[in-house]
Amino acid sequence: MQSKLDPRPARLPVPLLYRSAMALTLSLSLCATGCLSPLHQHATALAAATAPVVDQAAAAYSSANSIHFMRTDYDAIAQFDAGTPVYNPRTVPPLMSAKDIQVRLAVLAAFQAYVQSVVAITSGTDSPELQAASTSAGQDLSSLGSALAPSIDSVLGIAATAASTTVTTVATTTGNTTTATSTTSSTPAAAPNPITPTIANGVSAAVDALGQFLISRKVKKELPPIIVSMDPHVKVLCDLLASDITILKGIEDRDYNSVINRQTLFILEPASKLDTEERRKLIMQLPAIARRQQTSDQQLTQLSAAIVRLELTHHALAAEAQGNNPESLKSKLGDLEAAGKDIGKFYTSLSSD
Amino acid sequence: MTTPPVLPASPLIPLTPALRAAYQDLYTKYETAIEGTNDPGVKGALMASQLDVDNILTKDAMYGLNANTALYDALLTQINGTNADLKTLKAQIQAITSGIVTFGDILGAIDKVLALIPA
Repeated sequence: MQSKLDPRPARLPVPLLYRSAMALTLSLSLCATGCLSPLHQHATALAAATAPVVDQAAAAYSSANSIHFMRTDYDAIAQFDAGTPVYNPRTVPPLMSAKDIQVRLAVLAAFQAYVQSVVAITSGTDSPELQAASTSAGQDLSSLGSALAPSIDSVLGIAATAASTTVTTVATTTGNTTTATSTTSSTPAAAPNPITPTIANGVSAAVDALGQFLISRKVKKELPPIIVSMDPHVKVLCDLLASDITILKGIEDRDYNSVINRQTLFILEPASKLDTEERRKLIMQLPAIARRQQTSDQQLTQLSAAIVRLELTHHALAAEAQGNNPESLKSKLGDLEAAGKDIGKFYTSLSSD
Repeated sequence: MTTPPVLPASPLIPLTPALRAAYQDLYTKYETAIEGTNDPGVKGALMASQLDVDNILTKDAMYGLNANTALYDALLTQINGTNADLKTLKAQIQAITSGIVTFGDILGAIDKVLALIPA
């Protein structure tokens, strides 16, 4: 308790200041993390749903082109022998031009960048940069307190109190006589730093929570409209991808059929005049081509399913952004607990520094 | 083999959905017949007829892919616009963190000034 005669300015008792900072920290942090976590979970799910679509779609375009090239190689034999029109390998068009593939990959890359940004923004309330800035603010406050303490004392005219007394005894022996001489010296105490490490850590955590709160408020206001406005574009993207897949499925199926049928006819025709070993090798190639046909078909079917999943996942994210998700409340309650643990971890990391 | 329906040899591309389905059906019937014979003469004749149908379906498919390319182009502009909005938001979030850093910097600067003033 402060003495009536003590001219020092009143300070908040440390436990009270510490408790206030921690209460502010926890309440801000719970609000910040609790508000954004469901969005972040949906965004992470969207990222997981996007990756296979991007990878598989790029592979599907490349694969469709190479299967079509194989078909045109087989077609070349008949076209070469037909005479008219004169076969010219330079004029054989690819199934998809470089521009066709390039624009599709650019759209997929742009969409992936969108997803990565949403994931980053929804997880941004607890960023390492913010934690570093908050820790630095607490440390700066601590060193400021240490610089301020003597100034405060000096301004208020408080004499430095003797904090320690040192007694030095020197023994002098002359003949049989020993004389002991004692000297007493006092060292003034260093002015106590009003910002203890506990307070500095509490302030760091509070600043971190305040930063998280401000970021959360900004994200909560700005991000949902962006996600909601993106939802129709994602539907268009998924419809286009699905349309591509349907077209490619048809083309690949006909390309493989053409290759197998031409190879089979070549083996069957007496004019081919194959010897036994050559014939055997060509026949054995047929099931391998059929297996590739089945694999390609399965990959496109999987890609179709991944596209549907992607559209649904983004739609769920948009619903969450609009607050239409009934699971949100339950999820938020879980996040409150997680937020409490997070802020505790951050504070512990400060204490152990 | 049943008699195939009479379909135009050079139909207008893109095919209507009904015509596309009819050509696809015809193609499948040819394919079933091709796979069902080992007679090179019959197989060769069926394959030549199937190729005409295949060419029409492939032209239609390539038209579809090209049309999609134009739509992808338009979509790219939309997604890039959204990404620009997100970039702005990221910058605003960064500004909040920078504000905290500035707060720490100011405290540090005050500390330096006080260190230079004799107590």
